[in-house]
Amino acid sequence: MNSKFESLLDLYGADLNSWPDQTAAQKAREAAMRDPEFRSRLDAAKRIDASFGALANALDKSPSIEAGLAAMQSSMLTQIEAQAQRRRAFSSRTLMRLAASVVIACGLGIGVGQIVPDQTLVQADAHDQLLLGTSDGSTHNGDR
Amino acid sequence: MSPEHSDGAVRKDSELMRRIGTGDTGAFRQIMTEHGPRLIRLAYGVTGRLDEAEDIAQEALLTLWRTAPDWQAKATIAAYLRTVATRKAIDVLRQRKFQVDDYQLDELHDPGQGPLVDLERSQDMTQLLEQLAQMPERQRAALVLAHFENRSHREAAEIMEIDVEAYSSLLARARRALRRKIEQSQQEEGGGKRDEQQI
Repeated sequence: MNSKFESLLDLYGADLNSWPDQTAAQKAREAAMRDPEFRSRLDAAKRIDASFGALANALDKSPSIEAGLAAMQSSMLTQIEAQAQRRRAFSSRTLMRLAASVVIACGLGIGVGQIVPDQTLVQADAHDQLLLGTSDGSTHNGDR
Repeated sequence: MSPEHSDGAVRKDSELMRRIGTGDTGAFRQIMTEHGPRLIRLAYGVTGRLDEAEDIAQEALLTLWRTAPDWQAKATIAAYLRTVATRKAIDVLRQRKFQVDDYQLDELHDPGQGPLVDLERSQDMTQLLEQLAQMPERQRAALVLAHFENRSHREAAEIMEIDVEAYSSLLARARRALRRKIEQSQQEEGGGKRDEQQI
């Protein structure tokens, strides 16, 4: 039996179609046809592949794994909740929103200040006029 | 480039990780549902214990959660989790204080649905698990990455942090050891059948 094919079988597995060298795969097919010993090796390798497939299938459908998974998810969500809250509070997006709010508030404040006159200044001007009169020298009382 | 490593997949995962980084537990739940079963399967393949496999899967997912704020969009979530889980599973095997001679198979059985697979396949599977249990941890991991995870030699070598030639050699040795056991049992079965016929 050609030990080269046996080595390739161990290296690339029993699925000859997946071998990177398809010329070698074709030669291995021919070897399997004429050499019962290599055929037996190939069959054993195929049984291993099938067993792995059956095991993977059994694991995928296992109710024990499904139940374990549900418990695991619930436990993990409990574990991460506090950290998730902190992340939400300090996430860059939240901080950016906060910064944007501050900028908008400042902008609004400046804008409103320019449109609406400061009431204290208006009152102070009124008092000055009452006490000191206007620039033409008259007071409210002096008109008489 | 496999679909898992395409730029689109990396970008999509990157967005998911950004959400997790900002505390989105819904996005994390999505990852747990999508990748949890596969991680348990992988870890079970290496350790042979369901309880340990669940712990490993949980640790891998929590590592991902912790990594999320600093996530670099270099790999997919699946590739990251697979790497973490494989390495943890190998560590668990190395640190085991007691030798476990066989894989837990009974817990996979669903009593409500009868036998999992037909008898011959079930016997093969039992035999496979018996042989796996006797293998060194790195050979088990090499087989699991090739047969459960369908990883290429290059990808599996990256996960195991060894060069491709070393991985290929590891996998070939593991396959040969398994195959010889199966061949041996086939011969014994054949011999047994011949003996029965003679009787």
